Amino acid sequence: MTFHEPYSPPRFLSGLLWVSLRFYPREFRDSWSEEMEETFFRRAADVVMDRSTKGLLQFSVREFWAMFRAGIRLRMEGVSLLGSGHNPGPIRGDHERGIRCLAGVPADLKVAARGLGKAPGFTVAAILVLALGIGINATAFSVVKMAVLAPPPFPEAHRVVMVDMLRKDGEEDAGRSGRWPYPMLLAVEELENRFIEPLAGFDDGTVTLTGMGPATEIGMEIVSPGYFEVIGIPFPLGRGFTADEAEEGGPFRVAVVSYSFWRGRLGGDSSALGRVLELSGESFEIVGVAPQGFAGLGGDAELWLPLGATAVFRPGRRAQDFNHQIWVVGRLRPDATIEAARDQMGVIAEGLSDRWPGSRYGMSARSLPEVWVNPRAETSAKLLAIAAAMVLLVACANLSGLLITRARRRVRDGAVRMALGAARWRLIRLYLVESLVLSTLGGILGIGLAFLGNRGLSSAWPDGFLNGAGLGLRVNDPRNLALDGTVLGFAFLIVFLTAVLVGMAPALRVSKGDFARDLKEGTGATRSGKRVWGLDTRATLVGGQVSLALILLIGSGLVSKSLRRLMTVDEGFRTERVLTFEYSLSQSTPPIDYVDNSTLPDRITSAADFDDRLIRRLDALPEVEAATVGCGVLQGYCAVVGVMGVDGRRLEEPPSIAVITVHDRYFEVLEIPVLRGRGFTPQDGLSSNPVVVLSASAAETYFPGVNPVGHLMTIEFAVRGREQAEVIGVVGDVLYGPPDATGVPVAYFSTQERRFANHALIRTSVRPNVAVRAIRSEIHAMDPTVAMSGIASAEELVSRSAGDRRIVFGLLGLFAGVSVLLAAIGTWGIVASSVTNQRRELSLRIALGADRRVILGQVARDSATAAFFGLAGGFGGALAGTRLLDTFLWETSAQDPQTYFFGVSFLFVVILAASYFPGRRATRLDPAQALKAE
Amino acid sequence: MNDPREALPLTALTYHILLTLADGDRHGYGIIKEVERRTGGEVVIETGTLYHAIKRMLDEGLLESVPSSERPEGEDQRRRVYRLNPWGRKVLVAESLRLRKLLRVAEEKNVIPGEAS
Repeated sequence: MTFHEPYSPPRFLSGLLWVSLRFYPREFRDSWSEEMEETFFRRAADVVMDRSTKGLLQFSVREFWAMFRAGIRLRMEGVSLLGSGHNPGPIRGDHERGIRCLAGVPADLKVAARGLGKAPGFTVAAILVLALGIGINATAFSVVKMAVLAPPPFPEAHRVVMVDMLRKDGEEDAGRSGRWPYPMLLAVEELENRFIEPLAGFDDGTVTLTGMGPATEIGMEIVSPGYFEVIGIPFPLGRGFTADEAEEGGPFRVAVVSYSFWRGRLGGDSSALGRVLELSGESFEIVGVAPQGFAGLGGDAELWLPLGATAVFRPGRRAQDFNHQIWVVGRLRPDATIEAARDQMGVIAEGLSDRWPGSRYGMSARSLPEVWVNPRAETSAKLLAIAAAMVLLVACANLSGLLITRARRRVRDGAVRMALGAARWRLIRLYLVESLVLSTLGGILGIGLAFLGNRGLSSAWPDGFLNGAGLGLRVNDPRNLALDGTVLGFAFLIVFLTAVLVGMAPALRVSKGDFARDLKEGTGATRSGKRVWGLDTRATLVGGQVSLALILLIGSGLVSKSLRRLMTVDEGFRTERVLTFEYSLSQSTPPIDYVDNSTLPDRITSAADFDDRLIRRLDALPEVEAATVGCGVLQGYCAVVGVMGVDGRRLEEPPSIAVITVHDRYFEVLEIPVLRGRGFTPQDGLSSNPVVVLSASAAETYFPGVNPVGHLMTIEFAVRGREQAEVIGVVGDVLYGPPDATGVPVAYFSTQERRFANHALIRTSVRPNVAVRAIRSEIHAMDPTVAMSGIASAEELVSRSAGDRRIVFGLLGLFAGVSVLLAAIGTWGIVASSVTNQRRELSLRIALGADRRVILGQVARDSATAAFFGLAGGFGGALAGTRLLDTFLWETSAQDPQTYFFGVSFLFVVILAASYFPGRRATRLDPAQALKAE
Repeated sequence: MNDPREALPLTALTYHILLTLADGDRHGYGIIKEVERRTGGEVVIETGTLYHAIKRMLDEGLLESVPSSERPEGEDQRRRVYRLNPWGRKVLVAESLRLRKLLRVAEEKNVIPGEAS
């Protein structure tokens, strides 16, 4: 026996096998699937080696069919063997018997293919409709799978826990919950007998990589030694971090790089170990390569540094009790439960409050699979899936209607067959086979569409969906959107389901007919059939389509209204022609250490000097009107801290306040109005008295009804000894987060006094994206070690902040459009066929001088009734169903009357039009010709 | 069932599998390849059909799977190897004799030329 080299089969084969194996009973699969898989792939490899792609396709079809047949027979045998004890069964015969039971199918297939071939227009339309329905559903399912069903990709993921820091009362604290202050982590790490062991922190951020091409800002995480143990995936190369490296005085100048960094920038061989990276002017030696695909729990890391690196990248942070900076994760000990761990963390937090009397925080733990799913992404995925299912139902109803029309035309054909002795079920089977052929072809095309759909979605998937419930976990990677075996299996399932849904109505309808009368009356006898509320089957189907279309229409209308409202929110600053980007400080500027008071003034001054130089050079560019520096707008706050006191009075439960550090021209450049007092001047800084500017909402919160200028505020985030600052002014409220998030009052400080993020905000004289090139080369000329990142115009940021609603609106709108179109086609269809069928009667009436409106009324009766019931049903359905949309609505009621009115009237007009045009034909019938044709 | 003739006639598939295992133990892939080779590609057994048949033949006691301890080192242990057991061999012989009788009749009636002539 020859042994082949390991061979990686085309992906579709794995999917095919996965689906095929599902035909077998579970017991059989349990003991045989592994072996069958092995044999299957070795044979596939043979086929690939000695035949063409056509051979592979042939092979797949044969194998699929054989497994389907064997699986079904095993299931049937399993049922008949139950209870009869051991029955060796006949050795002969059953192979042949199985064939006989399916003997008619190929013949039916031929009949179906011939019938469909004769009506190419119908066939193409049907396949397109189904492809759309199936494609949309396969796409929706892959989204659900990625966003909801996919488990965290770590070994024994149920034991990985996220250790939260919450307020003592268990409430979340906007902007501060979750992350821990460094000293707390260090203290908890030292405790023994924890249920969560190992425990690790990660602090995400960026560093500037130089010495490898142009200076670039890359994502990194500063992690404690247990981090990679918590992840639990072995390293392809090198090692993680040791306890020594977690010390600021230790040998911390080591780094782990991501797999893609290693492959992309370091050539991907073992010589990468020991290479030295230049990071923001500091040297780090590579000691390991992280597992493939792992981008850190924050999701953006290309690089990991040991905790000791805080010495250079987070100076002073390890001593700051108030600065919530580091996320904490851990692994549950095998003998511990999550409840026990949660209780223990509570006790630990109690114990720590002795050391930190001011601590207002408690600790808790949640298992990773629990927090893994981003609720917003989950809701949108489910919404998408439901909407997609509705589109599929509309498509099925539509096609079913088309098939019924076809069936009626062929009613004589069926009657002849039955008169000649065809069994009723053979007739049903013929129709089912026909719809199976249609849905299979539609399914194949639909999978193609789903492939495109996934590609489109993964590029449009909004960033806001990526962060797992705000825990710093990036979980839903759009790269995971793939048509894998599960999705293909799901697509096959829908194909079968559609076939049954579509084929059943016409099959039953035809097989129940009175064939003697059908034979006599032929194609003319088509107004018979059961009626419900005055509607025949086809009209009922159209009514259903109208209902579903209305629900989708109203849903997308509501989301679009919220979107419009969001877009018109006043950001509170100028967004037109404003460019923002983050820059790294020059390497000659030392990082700021807030704890070391002796060096602080120098360091802040040198950073502020750098800002000044930058602003002066940018201001000189013709593309720039005015430049300033601060924290990013619309991208969150610099920090959220506590207000310890007002006018010297201590606040017991310090409320949260957001901090933004700004350059003195910030308010002027962004056109933020100064409502009271003044903004900052170049004189405000470490050498003068501490001053603060409040936002209007902060002024209202802390100084209700009085002019806050001249009052004092004590804010936690501060240089020691300068906590108490004088309020010098009040400015208008500005959006720092997404428009629908609850805002926090804001306190502004001068960058000459303290600073966090470095964002440049530039008012340009040309379009912002045109100015980028000049700005970039100016900065490079000033200092080549300065990296720019996150370049965007303010307008882009505004539209990005509505990203998830945009995608939900886009998809719902698309679905609504498709179903309205289908409902219109359905309506058109019943009116047109009603004209055809009543031709004789209508001609007589016209000949006798009937009014045209009466004629129109008669042919449109069915569609009008269908539309009435459909609109009523859809209205009710929308009222009941739009609650699902709540998450995506903003300042828009789910029962918004305007949207409902618009939806109903729009659909009404569409149906009217769809009835009028075919109906008009009835009024133009030439009686003589119509009667002759009979 | 002591008389193997009671198990006759066999399906073509069963007979092919028994015949293939007559001169040596094989795993599933090996059986498919051997049948394909022997018949010049005329008979190709699909994976699904084969394992259904193997399961049935194991249930009927025609085959047994070779214990892993008897298999050569280094062989992929996921793959089971099948062998004809004494009862299977008896059934194979009985079926072959039955077929020979049938062919004799065909020869006598000059449907196909006799081997001797």
